[in-house]
Amino acid sequence: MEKSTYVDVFIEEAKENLQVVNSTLLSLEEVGFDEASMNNAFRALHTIKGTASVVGVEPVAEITHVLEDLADQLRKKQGSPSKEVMDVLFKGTDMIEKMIDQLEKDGEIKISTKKLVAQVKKCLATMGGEDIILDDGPTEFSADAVQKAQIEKANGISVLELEVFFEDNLQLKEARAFQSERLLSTKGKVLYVLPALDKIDEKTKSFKVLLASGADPKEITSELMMITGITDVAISPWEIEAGSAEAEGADTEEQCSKVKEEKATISTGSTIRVKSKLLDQLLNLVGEIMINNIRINMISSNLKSRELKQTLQNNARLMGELQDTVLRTRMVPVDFIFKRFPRIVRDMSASTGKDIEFIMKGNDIEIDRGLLDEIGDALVHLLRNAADHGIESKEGRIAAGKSPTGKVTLSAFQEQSNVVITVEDDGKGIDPAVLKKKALQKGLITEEDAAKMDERAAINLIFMAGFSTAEKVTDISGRGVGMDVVVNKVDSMGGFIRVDSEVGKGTKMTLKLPPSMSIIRAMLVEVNRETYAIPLENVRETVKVPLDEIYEIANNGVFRLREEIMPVMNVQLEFGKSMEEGTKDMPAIIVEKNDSRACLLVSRLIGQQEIVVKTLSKDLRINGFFSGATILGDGKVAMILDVGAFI
Amino acid sequence: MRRRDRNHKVELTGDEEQLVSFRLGKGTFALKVGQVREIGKVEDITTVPKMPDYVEGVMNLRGQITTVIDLKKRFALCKDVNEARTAQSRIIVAEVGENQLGIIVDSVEDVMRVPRANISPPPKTLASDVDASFLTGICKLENKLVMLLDLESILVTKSDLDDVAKLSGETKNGGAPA
Repeated sequence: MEKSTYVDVFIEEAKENLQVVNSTLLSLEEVGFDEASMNNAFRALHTIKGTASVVGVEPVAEITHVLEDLADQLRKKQGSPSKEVMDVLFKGTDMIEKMIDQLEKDGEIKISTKKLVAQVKKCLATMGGEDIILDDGPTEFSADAVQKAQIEKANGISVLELEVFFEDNLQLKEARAFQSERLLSTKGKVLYVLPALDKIDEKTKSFKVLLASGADPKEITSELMMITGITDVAISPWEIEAGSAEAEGADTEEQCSKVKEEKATISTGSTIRVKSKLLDQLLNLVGEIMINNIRINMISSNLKSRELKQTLQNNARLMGELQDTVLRTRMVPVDFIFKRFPRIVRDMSASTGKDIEFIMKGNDIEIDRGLLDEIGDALVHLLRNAADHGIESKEGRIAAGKSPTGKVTLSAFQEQSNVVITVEDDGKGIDPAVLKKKALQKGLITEEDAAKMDERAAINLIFMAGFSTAEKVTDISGRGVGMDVVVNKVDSMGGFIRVDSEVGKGTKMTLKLPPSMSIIRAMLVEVNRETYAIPLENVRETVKVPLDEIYEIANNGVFRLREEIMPVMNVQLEFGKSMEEGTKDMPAIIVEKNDSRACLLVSRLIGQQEIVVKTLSKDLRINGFFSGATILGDGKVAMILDVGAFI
Repeated sequence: MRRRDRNHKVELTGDEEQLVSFRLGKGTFALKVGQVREIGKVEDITTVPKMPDYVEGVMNLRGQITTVIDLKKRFALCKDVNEARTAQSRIIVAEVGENQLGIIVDSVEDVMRVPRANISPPPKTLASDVDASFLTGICKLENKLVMLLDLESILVTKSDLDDVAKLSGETKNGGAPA
């Protein structure tokens, strides 16, 4: 491995560890001090620091170093930190996050840590770290020592816990302690002395030693007793529970196995860490095999060999399983990105002065990693909108007769094969009338348009480019880029977004995402001798349309299907061929997207098929008619129609 | 296509450039060898509607969707459509950034090494039918002038697309339902 791959590993790992730190800080703030999670945060920081200095990312190492010290103080102090300390900690994690971002994007870090390091140091000083260990009598071994002891134990060396008692009124106890320690270090490895040697004074009655040694305990005891002033020695094999809380013990064990594996990979149970790029490649290969398979099937149908057919059937089953498995390997729980949201909402509520309760549901719902990465920013945007525009100020809420605490709910659930994510708030809702007015003012729609719009259409105005309802431009949302970016993103993933809002009650945004971006079911159609694919997601039904039943209204063809009137688009004409003389009727596909429907006339229906979606370069996507392309069994390319272009 | 000196084709000294040259109408053009991924026959192209006419379509090249551009149409060199394709016509697949692009040329001529000193930036006025903005440079050889193509510049431009939209008489309005 070259250095850059180490850096990659570092980046990935640091991101995960930062999540841990962030969630711990949040719980510190919300539910108060909790030793186990504080230890987790400390360890996460410690790991970041360690790897950062190993791979040579100095700025990160510097800042994590002081933050680690701060966290260390906190967990020793066992109390909820003051607001200033929390702020510094949050700032610190933010800075590390930024650094990691820069490192990932530009390969170097340009942020200066000096100011923050000084701030943290000031915090450390005011907390007065030193006087903490001055408690009377020994208490506990440090986590570090416990960890070391674990390792020794795992390596088959027994670990002893000794408590050495001094004679009352003995002078120069520290010298005796020093002597004892010297003696013990000839017997084995002294892992920890409690209290530290230089803290032992006249008042100390005893001190504890953690010793990794294969020597006979009796021998150690008798030799220690030879030292003047030592009255008694209690010696026992060390157990995890002897030193620390049970929860921590379990964690340490995991930590220990990590250290034993040497490399910094999380090895819990039977999971391994794989580069997502490799998974992408794997999926691509499966796609290629599928395409080839279709081709083989085509060839075999001409050969009429029963054996070949049976083998191919078998193959098809295996292929299906392979595809399924590969898709499943790419699934991660949405929690993967959800866990950074509480922090975002917290910051929002802090900066807007609103009281916001944030609820997350369905964190364990699984979704394709590729989709999740894409959707993250969009969700952040929706959450910010909900907290910033949705939820009213405290006074506003009280005046409206609501509880002063606003509620934002983020939930994920499965609906058939789709993953649905909703962002819901109990704020003031969206007023369609206000939206219409705004859109008119900005010249996005005409009076005529506005008059025609029903409530739903008006609410959908928020998706229009250049539309933002924020009264003033805030730091948080309303920067001009807005919902249109979100809708484009969701669109490009083959997803769907819907807004439900009731004035005074709240707003609900629903994102419906396909199970995977890469392999979808599609309807194949022929238009002007070329094959096109339409995602089945968008196909409602297929019908035959007699041409003389198409009526023209305001230059647009419409067709009446049962009770519904929908626009008709002749794709054949649209794509530049004239109609053959004497055509009486044409096959048509009723497509729908975002609650609107249209009827597309095509030359011929071919059938349904599973297709592998390939991305298009930008120049091919730019006209808006195609969302991607696929490769057919004969090796030719078929474009995937974006039905949004026709509706 | 002639291939010569297969053996010492690989090594290159700093002051030489290796070019793939091809014919287009009356002119000779070239790409750097490093830009060319492969050369193939003109077949199995799927036409893509709603694109400028010089976009021939897309093809499948080892699983990657590759845009194919007819260079003669791009440079507006071709007056008569019928003389466009011959048995010698080839698609040169070249790398442009992270994507790849197929360009249809009349014939592929040669792979040659030229001293870098012979390559100069394109003059503003060129005694050729091709706009100088499509070129990165020109290379003077004993008997002819070879024009080095700027691949970035031949990609589909937004304004060309807008023209297409205007031609079809109907501009569609984003995704917002009205």
